[in-house]
Amino acid sequence: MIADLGLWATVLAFACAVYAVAASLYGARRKQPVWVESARNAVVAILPLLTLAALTIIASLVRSDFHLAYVVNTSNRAMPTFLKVTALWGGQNGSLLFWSWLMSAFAFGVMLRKWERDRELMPYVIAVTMITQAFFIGLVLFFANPFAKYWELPSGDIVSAALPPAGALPFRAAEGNGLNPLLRHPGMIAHPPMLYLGFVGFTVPYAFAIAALLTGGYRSEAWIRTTRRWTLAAWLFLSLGLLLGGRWAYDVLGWGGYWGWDPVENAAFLPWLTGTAFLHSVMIQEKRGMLKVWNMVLIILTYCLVILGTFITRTGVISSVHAFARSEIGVPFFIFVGAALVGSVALLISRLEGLKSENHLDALLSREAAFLLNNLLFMGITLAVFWGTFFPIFSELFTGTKITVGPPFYNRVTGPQFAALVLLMGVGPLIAWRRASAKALGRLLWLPTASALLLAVLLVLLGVSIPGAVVGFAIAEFTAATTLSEFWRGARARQRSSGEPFLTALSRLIGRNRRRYGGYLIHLGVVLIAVGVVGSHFFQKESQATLGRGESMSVAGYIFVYEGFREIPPKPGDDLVRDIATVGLYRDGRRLATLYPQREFYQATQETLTPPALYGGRMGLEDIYLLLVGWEQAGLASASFKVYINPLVNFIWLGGVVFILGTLVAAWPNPAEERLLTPAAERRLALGEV
Amino acid sequence: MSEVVFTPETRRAQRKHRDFSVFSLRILRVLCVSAMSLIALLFATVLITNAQGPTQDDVNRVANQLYCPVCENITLANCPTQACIQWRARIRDELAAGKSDEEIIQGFVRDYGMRVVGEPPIPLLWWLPPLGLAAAAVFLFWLLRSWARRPRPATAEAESIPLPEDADEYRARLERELREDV
Amino acid sequence: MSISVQEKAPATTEPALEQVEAPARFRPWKLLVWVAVLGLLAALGWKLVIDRQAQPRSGLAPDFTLTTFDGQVIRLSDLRGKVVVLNFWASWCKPCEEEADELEQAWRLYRDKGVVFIGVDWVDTQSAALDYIKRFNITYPNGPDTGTRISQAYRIQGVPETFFINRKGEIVDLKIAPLTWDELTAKLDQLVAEPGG
Repeated sequence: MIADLGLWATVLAFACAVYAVAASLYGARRKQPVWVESARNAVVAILPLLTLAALTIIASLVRSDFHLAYVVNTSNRAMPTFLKVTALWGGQNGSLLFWSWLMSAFAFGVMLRKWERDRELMPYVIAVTMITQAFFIGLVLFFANPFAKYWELPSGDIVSAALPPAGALPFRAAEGNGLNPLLRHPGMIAHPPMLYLGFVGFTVPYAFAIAALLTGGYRSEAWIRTTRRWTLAAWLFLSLGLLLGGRWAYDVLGWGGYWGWDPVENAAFLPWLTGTAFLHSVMIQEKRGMLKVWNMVLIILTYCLVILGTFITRTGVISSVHAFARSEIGVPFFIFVGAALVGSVALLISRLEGLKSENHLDALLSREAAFLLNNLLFMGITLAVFWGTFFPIFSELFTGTKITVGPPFYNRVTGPQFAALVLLMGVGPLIAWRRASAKALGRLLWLPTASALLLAVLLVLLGVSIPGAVVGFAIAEFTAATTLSEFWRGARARQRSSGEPFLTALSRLIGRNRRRYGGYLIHLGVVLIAVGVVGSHFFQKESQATLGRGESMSVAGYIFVYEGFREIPPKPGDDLVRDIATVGLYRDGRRLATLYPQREFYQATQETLTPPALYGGRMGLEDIYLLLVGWEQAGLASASFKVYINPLVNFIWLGGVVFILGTLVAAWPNPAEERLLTPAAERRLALGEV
Repeated sequence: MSEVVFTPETRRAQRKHRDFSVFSLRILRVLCVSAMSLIALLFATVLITNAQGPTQDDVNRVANQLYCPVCENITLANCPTQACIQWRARIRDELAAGKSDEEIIQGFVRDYGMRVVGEPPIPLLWWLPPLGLAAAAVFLFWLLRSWARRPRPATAEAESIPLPEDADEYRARLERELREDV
Repeated sequence: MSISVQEKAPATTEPALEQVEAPARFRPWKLLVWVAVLGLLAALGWKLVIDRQAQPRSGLAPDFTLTTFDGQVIRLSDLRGKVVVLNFWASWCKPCEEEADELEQAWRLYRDKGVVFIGVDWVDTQSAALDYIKRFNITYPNGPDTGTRISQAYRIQGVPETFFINRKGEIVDLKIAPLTWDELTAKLDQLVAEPGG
């Protein structure tokens, strides 16, 4: 029985993880490398074991083996195969196994890197990653086991258990429940895996930080340098996971938006915020040796927010639309959260004296100060999002009243801070390290500032009356202008000394300073996202009407004509009834397209989904979002439709693509860079990269 | 008692007066009728538009500000359950009865608790983040100033890095880097 | 933060002086951090415990005041000495309809034996609730749970849920599903037979 194979593979993996913790710590204590090597081997062994375990679940899902409780809960015969595979992470138990699997892959990768330069960190890196690994595998084995099967007891009761109870016979359900309808979407392929990769990935820099604290390696910047690419990779996955989640919400959920400030969304956003702050602030430590304590705080905070976020998502202590079903994992998870928080904080405080460095600033107008301002804003946003997310718990505990903290709170409190960040993103890279001359800065900034002011005036003259939008667009233009001017100036300078054609100079410039120009590309991606957010937030139009056949409704110059309707009965073995309306889209008398908004009704769970019909109007500058409203009567005679016009929302997805590009450029290994690691060369590198 | 003598002038005047009063009476009549028709028309218009009732957009305007009391974190406008259908009907009825948005929202709060609004009027919720940010900003400013005042530590990088003053720093630095390029 | 006086002294003593100063300066921060961390953990743990608390199945029934749709005011503690069947329902709740008839029939049968049926309408609209009452010809007192106070006191997780309260005012049983006629009558026979408080 292949599921049993998976179960025992998981048990072995758990044993390896526990052993690795013990052996690495013992080897470090007794200074016997052979034990650390043994621990390393144990870590390496976990990946194939968990791969086997995950594959057995996938196989059981694809084969619709309804002896397994998890398969019954998350799959049914009628689902397409790709959805059956994604059901691995469609339910609580399977997704915890999936998490463990991804974690083992990261640990495997970390074991394979060259360790010569940081031998002394290895045992503790192993210990920290394996404690996390053991915890998640432990959750899987003892509290949320996807390998549990149905058994029929002699008394006739049906129970689910991993190991057969005495006298029980295997019980096979006739059919499964199928995946939650909201999850039956291609987005299921990428969104959770990306998110988990991001979460799991941050364990690596955290492990190195803890190892540095434990060994005294925190005195140098080595731990930051070695983890830079891991941090960047984790950060990229998390960013992608968030963007994909937004796209999925937009495509499927039918409420016209992409981010609802739901507690589970915020739980994933919080570590992204501190992680981005960390990415920036380590640059100061690398260049100037400053902020050792703060960087430790940031990475510990990021990891703890990951664990905390996972805790509130999976245990349902905060009510959310994304809630998993209640399970037993609450208490053990809480203990782990507590241990991680308390342990890390205690360790940091105990090493506080050694970490404090000679922080010195040459001038307030300097890149260091700009980075610190960046961190201040990120922490301000983190505080606001954290407070809004957790406040309902505090309120319910202290006053007994349940409250809801909705988007208006987050928009009002974090909006100005985000705008300030985008502005800083434009100014910061132009400020020199140590001491910047205001004159030189002014020379670099006057043109972008003037152009931004001009844009603001233009927008007001064109009739844009919302101050937030005008300011938002102006700031975005400013930052785009300064960032592009960086590319321009660098390429021109190179051109002047080397005589190359411009494009060659540009590509060589980027190639030689990948970190910097990759970063600028990421900033451009952020600007695009900012433009999309400002446009879709301030200028969204919404309207709902019931139309008879042949009637039309008009929104923002677009005319929607209700033309037809058909109902598609469920396929055999499936429970999905689909209602599809045919709507003609017109503008200025011309027919633009035929749209097919749908209503999906799942008879088994009585759930209704209303995926929208999307159309890019004005060459994609505005998105037309048409819904067949789920709850009103719909038929040939009349149907209710809801229309959203979302201007500029496609800039968000475009910005996401630029984001990925920028991160790849920034993270791409540069052999020339790798060689320059002698102190003298480092200084040169600091000069060249500055 | 003297007789009232009707001279041709007085008769003319009387006629004028009579004509004028007849004329003004006529005007008055016309005005009255017009005014009454106008009022009637207005009344009818008001009746007709009220008979159409609040539009679905009106209902959504209010429903977007309220959250479903039984579901998790979803606005009344987007919630597909039977309960939410009833609540939207209640909003429509109350709008038709002439209640303002605020009155309707307060009614929901009274009946179902504070959780139906997305912006709870709790000062601690709204004030902590901006105050926290302000406090952190003050602290940061103080910290940076104290760092700037410290003497330059002797253990800093031995090589003194020239402080670039003009915008051609790029060129200078790039040239340096190209020369030193390994 | 005082600028170190050791500007003239060799550099090596500077860091040491920094370190000596530091602990005194940083203590309030340590306290703040620990309060925040432990406070957060305490809140999360407490919330976990609260979430696991299910409906009360025994002990004194939480007292409440209910204003019925007819304007009558009922207080639970005033009904000491009678058997109380406390039923939570809503007009939009399909399973509630399965037990509506049974509840009304049981009320008519047992009202002379000292049994009171109280229906608490959970997060519902008045018009729909009144339609429901008319549809099933319900005559026992029903009222809306204004502010969800009663349902929170009884920690219900949905509807229908029915609490059986004996003559002494204690909860003796709970049904988290529609009641069947047999269950209802069996329970009521048992409770009616008990001596009054």
